[in-house]
Amino acid sequence: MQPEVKNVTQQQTRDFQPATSILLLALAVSISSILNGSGHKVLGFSLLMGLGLGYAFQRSRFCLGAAFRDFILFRSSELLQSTVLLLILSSLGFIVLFFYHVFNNSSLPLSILPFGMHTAVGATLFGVGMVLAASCASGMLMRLGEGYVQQYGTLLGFLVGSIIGAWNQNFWLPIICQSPAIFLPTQLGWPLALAVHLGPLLFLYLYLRRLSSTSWKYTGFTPIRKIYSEAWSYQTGAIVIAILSTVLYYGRGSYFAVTTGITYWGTWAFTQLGGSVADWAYYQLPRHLNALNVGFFLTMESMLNFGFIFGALISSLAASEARLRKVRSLKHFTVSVAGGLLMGYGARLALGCNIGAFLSSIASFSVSGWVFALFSFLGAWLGIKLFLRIFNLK
Amino acid sequence: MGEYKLDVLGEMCPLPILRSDKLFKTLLPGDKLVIVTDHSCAMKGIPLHFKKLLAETQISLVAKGIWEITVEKKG
Repeated sequence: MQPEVKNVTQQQTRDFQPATSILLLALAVSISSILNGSGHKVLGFSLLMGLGLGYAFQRSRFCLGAAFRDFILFRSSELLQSTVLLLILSSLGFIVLFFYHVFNNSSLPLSILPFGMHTAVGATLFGVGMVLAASCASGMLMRLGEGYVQQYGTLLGFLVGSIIGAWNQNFWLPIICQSPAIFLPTQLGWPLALAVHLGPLLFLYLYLRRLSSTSWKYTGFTPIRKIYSEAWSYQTGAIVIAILSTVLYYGRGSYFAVTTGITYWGTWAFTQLGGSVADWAYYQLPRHLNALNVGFFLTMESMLNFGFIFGALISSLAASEARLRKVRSLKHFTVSVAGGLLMGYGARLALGCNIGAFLSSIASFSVSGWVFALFSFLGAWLGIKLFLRIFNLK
Repeated sequence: MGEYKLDVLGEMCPLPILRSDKLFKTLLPGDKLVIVTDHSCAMKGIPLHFKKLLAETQISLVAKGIWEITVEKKG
């Protein structure tokens, strides 16, 4: 039972999307080069890696939010299985980077997040939000690139939620600073840390693995288009994303994360509307103070996100899938905005979304990643209950 | 041998699967369900979902960004 994907569009109309994708790619790479040339190497690099990651996510339809959601809702394990694979490969990538630095007498900059009440609350809210919004943070960026008008609503909610979350750090930062941050190898030594970390992941991966994988038959596509436009398997997506995020970490000394960038965009909008953030505890932190001083956009976080959206757009155009997807109803839109709000706020509390606080954190052997996983899973479960009730299903 | 069309354009996960699953349960063997979706995740998620329910799936990209997924109930 091979699903067959037929391309019917080719015979009907002249298709300008693939050509457009190449033009946009050239444009984005040029911008990256300009940034590199004008002394902003980290920015240009982040933009380029963002392009690759956005492309990989869109092409393989990889959605971390759906990994949890579809498992809970449908007992569907394919995405979750590939997510676990992604975690394993990213962890291996991290190990390579860590010891590369050790052998070169340098140290890999680590970001081991403190975990506590803020993680529990934040991750739960994030989990609820990602189900309501029909996407997580990276999924939202991806679909902004693909043309989903509903996700612009999610973005609006996300921006507002992020600003509120950043402002609320006045309250949460004291709690965060008192919370433990545990890097497993320091606590347990590398051998035991590897066993405790990789053991469960491998077990989980094998447990979820289906005996028969679905292979796809593509017809009606020209040979070149077949390579260029074929949707990748989740496994391929996991491998490519793991490689790209490891290279990203290596190149800029800071791991793959997306919500800080979105917070910067929200704050920029806030300041444009007359708001002031100079006295917020969040913007007194060196990293964020720097962002404030450079105007928010010339930051690696912002550049990565722009690259991500563009990468997803380019991937979508290459496969002739780009389309302005209209909103189904006001209800759909409103629920999505609410989801974005919860995600934006929750991510600030938990110090990241399922990319930064889950994927990158687990890959970095930080205990916080597991805490986020647990509570975002709980949040997803709650979110599903709410979602089904809102849309009158089951 | 009925053919039923389900329009889920503009709907995002998990609605396409939820709605098509609900309708699929009411079908008789031999019936076909044609799901019209513009969601890129659905063109992967729906076949995976129906694979477990003993159905034959065929996907057509009928316009830029729109797929018609035909699910035929077997058995």
